[in-house]
Amino acid sequence: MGKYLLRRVLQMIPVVIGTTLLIYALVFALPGDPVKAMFGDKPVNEAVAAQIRSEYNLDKPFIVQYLLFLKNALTLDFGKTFSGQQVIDVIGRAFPVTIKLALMAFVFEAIFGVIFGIISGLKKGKWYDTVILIVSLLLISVPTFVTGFVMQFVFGVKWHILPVTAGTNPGFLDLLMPAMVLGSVSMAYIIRLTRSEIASNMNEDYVRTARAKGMTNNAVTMRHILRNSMIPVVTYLGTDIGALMGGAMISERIFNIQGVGNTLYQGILRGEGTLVVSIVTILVLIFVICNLVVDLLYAVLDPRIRYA
Amino acid sequence: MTEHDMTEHNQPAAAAQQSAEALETVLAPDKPLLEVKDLKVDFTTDTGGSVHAVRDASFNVYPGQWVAIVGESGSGKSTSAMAVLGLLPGTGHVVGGSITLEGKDISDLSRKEYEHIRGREMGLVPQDPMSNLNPVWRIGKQVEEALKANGMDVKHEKRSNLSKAFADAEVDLQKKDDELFISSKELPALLAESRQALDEAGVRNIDKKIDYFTGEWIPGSETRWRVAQDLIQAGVGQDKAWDIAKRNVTGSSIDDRISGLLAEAGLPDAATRARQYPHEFSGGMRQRALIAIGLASRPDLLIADEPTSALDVTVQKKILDHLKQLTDSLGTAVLFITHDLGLAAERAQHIVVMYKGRVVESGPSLEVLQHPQHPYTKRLVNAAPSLASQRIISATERGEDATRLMEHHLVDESGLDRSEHIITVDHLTREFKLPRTKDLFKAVDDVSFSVKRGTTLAIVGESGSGKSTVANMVLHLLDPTSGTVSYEGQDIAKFNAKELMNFRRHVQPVFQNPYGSLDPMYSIYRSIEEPLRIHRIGNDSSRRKRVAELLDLVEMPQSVMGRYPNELSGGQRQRIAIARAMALDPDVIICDEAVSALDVLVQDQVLHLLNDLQAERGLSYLFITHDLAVVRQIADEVVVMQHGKLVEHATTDEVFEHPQRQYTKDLLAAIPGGNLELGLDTE
Repeated sequence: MGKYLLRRVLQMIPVVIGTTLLIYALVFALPGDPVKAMFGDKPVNEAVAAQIRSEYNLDKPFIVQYLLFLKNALTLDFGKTFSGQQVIDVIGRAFPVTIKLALMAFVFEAIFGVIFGIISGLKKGKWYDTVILIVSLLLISVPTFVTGFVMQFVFGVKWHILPVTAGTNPGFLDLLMPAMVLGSVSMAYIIRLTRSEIASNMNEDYVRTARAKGMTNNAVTMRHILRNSMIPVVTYLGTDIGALMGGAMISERIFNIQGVGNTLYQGILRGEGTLVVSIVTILVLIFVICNLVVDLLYAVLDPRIRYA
Repeated sequence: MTEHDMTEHNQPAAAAQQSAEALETVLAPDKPLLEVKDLKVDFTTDTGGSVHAVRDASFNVYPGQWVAIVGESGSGKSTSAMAVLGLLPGTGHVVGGSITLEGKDISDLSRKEYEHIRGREMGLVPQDPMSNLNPVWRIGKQVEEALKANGMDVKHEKRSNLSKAFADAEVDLQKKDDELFISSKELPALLAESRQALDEAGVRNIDKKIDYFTGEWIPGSETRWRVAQDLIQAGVGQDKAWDIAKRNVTGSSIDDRISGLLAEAGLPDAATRARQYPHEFSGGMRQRALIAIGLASRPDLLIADEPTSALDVTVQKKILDHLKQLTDSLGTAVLFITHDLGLAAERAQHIVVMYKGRVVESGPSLEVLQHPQHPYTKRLVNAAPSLASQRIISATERGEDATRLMEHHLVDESGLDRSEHIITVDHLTREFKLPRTKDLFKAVDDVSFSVKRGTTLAIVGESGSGKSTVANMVLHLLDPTSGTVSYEGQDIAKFNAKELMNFRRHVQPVFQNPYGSLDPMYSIYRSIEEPLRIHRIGNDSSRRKRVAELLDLVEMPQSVMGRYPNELSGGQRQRIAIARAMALDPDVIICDEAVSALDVLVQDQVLHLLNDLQAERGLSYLFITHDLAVVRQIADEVVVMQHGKLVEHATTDEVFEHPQRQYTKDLLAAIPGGNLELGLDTE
């Protein structure tokens, strides 16, 4: 077990290096000169531009830039943004909001996804099963920004139940609608996954054997059908935490939340390599750690899986 | 109680008989325990129509009796059993007739009422031990569920407490429902006091007696009165023995009871095993756990639905022997579902033969076996492989030529100028690396044999013996670690691409699973035509003609050409697989468990087909199977493998009449129906 954990942690190193290198290369390859863009409409002062370039290492070859970034990142020094802020401060402001948003979306999709999935799976063919199926299909097929705008219009503009946008320092109510929008697609997938798992587990031989023991229908459902159906659902939920963090970009744009997604978006627009790569590195780390936790959780849920 | 107890120690057996007699007077043996009358079961199809799975089936099971329902798959035998349990799958429902259990009609009980009688009045031992235990729960937990569901745990603990309170005043508890079991906590004290008592009584060989007690007194299984009986038997005075038993056997915990049940079902080291998960068990061990579950709440009727058909023959014999002893000692009646008439006749007192949803014949086992009335039963008697090999043995004993009966003598003598051995396997070894360790596992260990042209060589062994690995190496699908496989005297490992293509053309496989070896997206025509196309033989019209010929050869109508595998039965698919193997006119066919998945009648037909093809075309077969009964019907020579090694190699007659190794003898003894007398009118 310890050996397995160590191996998995060591595996994270090439993953992080690979992804950061790739992102760095992509930002580097973006058309346009970020330094020139900083001058806006004013004429470019070459001396100032050269000074900025050397300050941000932009005059050095790509690979040297990358290695310098990596070296500084190891000491948690992510450098400064073009506007002179410490990158670490920007991240420190953006992440708490996004983590809050992602966790709310996670709780929303987990609770409602599993509940509707169980209702649908246990009562296949009933009218509410059909309704749940149709709604989940709608949520999957309609793009998130459409769902977002529709909800914004209905709940915010028309009925005034929830705030239309979140703004700075958003509270629970401000984030409620964005979280539902963010979690909606995953919730639909969880409904469908839970439903099909329950349907296939119901026909397992060991369920029949359990009934033959004389167990009551409720006991069979809880101990044999639901327990086994939850294994893939939990796996999906675990990997989804990372996806929610990174996928918050669209919801954050729609509801004007100053989180990771928005910051990342602006960083890309301005060609700020260090900011973009720093954020992505943290996202990658979160993703990889979530995956590891899921794999460990999987072994707890399914005794057939043992790590050595 | 263990097997040892029942065979070598007669005191408890006598006591058990006493209680069995008492039981009989209570239950009135002339009244059936289970009475199924004119049962009709329908399945509703997607289009709203009905499929009649069971039609007017009637049969009775009397207390303590073994009744077998025999028939091929689709005959309605399992459906009838599930109707009794109220566990019909999918759209199945009882549409007529009655099911009476202990005098009350149970065919239209509510779900709650059924939950009440399942487990405590009737138990189930299902067919496939691999899929019938929930992989996420420990074995012990799954046994516990069976006890809890029927209130046995509560009753159990209550009794334990009650008996503790009344320990002094209590009288003789020698009853059927005596549930005062030894607990693992009390066992050391019990043994110590017993040793002291034996010592005081001046008994000799105390150590031997104590050893015997240690083996017998399994916590959670052995009861107080048995302990007292054992002590009295060993020479302790009556009063002293009861005194020891009363003070030291005051009831066990639920965990003790669970391991006691598992031990009764024949699981060694049950207390440890109960904490393991199903995937840590072999198939045989899982089936023992399922038997423990089925019998946990002491039902009067146990429904055993093909309980051993997924297991190796040697394991099958052990488990059925044990189940028989256990149900006999508990007085449990068994409804035994099987497709093998030999097995049914050997185990059950009464046989019910089902065919196409109807009961076509029923009667005492030997009566049915020796004087079958219905044509279907006659066919079953003729087809049962266990009985067929028995027939050949008895024919040889009468001095007849066994080979004539086996009807697959080689006629093609023209091949003698070529090498006599078409396939030669020389010191073949294959190692596999075990995951995450440096250990190598020898799946095949120094195996040598050769297949003579136009004959059949069978490789026999249990699962895991390495026989399929040999087949894969002979087919050049797997490279050997060392050793060689030669075809026509040439090492197949040294073949270049063209020679390999030629080799593939002449050596064809037929695999075990006819559901998996045909591509479901290919029509039958395309499946059979594919090898011809790959080897660029003929044009479209000549290929069509050839496919038609091949279908004739395997006795399938040409109309199946446009159909798809899922529309055919298992036997029909296996015929298609044989037709495909025959398409290129091969010299050698390698059959890897080619008939194991098939029903006996279909199995018999396919074996006949293989025999005929060999006689007509001088084919050589390498026949891999775990079933010695099938070997008797088809093989000329037998190679027996165990743990990757070749343990015996001789002609079929030699192996059957003078087996050299104990392992081979065990395999032979495990063929069901081996000890049955067959009437001559069956032939």
